[in-house]
Amino acid sequence: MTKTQFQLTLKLQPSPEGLRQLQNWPKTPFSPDFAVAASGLIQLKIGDKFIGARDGKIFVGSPFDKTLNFWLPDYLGGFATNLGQAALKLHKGAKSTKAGFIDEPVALNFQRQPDEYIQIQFEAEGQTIQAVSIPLSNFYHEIAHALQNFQQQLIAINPNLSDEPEVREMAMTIRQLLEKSNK
Amino acid sequence: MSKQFTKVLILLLLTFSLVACGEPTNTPTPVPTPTVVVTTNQTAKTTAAKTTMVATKNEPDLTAVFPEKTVIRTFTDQEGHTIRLFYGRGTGHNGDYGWAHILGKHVNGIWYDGGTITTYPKAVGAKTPAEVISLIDKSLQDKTPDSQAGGRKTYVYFVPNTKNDVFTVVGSDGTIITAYPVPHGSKDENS
Repeated sequence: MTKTQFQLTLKLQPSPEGLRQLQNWPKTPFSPDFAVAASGLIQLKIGDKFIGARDGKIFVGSPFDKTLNFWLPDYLGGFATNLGQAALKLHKGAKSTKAGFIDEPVALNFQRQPDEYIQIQFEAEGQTIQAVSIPLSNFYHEIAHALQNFQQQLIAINPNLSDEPEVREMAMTIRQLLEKSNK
Repeated sequence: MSKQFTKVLILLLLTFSLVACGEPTNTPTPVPTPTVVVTTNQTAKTTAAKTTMVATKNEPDLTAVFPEKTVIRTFTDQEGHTIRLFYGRGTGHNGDYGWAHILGKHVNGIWYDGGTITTYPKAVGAKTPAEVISLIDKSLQDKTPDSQAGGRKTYVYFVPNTKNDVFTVVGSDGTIITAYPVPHGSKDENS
C-alpha cells in the first residue's frame, strides 16, 4: 500500500469577531473581507515530510517532532479560494499555477509533468522547501477533499454561508475537481 | 449735611456696584478641539461598528490606538481606485488585519499563532512606521496588480538596495488587509 504523498488539511479557526460575522452572515457583513473572517490554519504533508514552523521560521519534520508547529496560520478563506482557482486553472490546461498564502511568504507551486503527473512544490521565503510528484487525479482529489472539508466547517457554523459568493464558487470548483479526479 | 451724606452714599454705591461687576475675566473658556473625525453610521441595520473618516490634513498618529474603523491613511492606486488603511485589529492572533496587524506582526514582530514572522526592519530596513506607510504607498503604485480569488488584489514594490518586495493585499472593498516584505519576485505573478 502506497503512503499518501500529498496531504492538505484546512482548519477553520476564526477570531471571535470573525466567528460572529460568519455566524450572522448575511445579516452581518464581513469586515473587511471573507478571507479575514474565515481565518484559520493549514497543515501540509509533502512527500514523507510535514511542513512546520518554529520561532518564525519554516522547517520540515515528522509529526513526532514536538518542537515544530505543523499548523500554519493564514487568512484561510483567501488561501482556500486561491487554491481552488489554481487547481481549476490546471484543470483547464494551464502548465503551471500557484496558490499563495495571504499573510505568509509562502506558496504552493504546481507544475504539470509528463504522464498526467503534477509536481507540488512548497516555497517559503522564495526558497523551495519540499517537493513531490503525484498523479494529477490524486491531486485533484486531495484539493477537492480539503476544500469540501473546509466548506463543511463553514456551513456547520452557518448554513446560509453556502450562498456566500466565495463559498458558492468553492462548491463549483469542488464539483469540477471531483469530476476530474473520478475519471 | 444730609444732602452731602446722600451724595457720598450714592457715589459709594455706584463704586461698589462697578467693582462687583468687575472687568470681564480672562479665564479660558474651553474651546472645542478642532474636529477632524467625521462619524457616519454606515450600516444602520447591522451591529457593525461606525465608520470613522479622518481628514487627511491631520492624519492619525501611527503609533496610537484607535477604534477598528478609523481610517489611518487613504491611498489611490494606479488605476485610480481609493484604497483605505483602517486601524483594524492587532491582537497578535488569526483574523487581525489593517494597520494594527501590520504594525504588530510585520513591524514589531508580535505574533502568537505560529508560521513565519517577516518584519520590515529586518527585511527592508524600514525602522519607523512612517517609512512603512511610505513603502505601502509605493506598492500601491504597482502598474500591474494581480487579481486574486474573491476580488482581492495584490500589489508589489521592489525595495531598492534590498532583495525584497513589499507585498500588499487589498480586499474586494478596497481595504488593505495586510502588507509585508517578501523575497523579490516570490509573490509577483508578473515577474
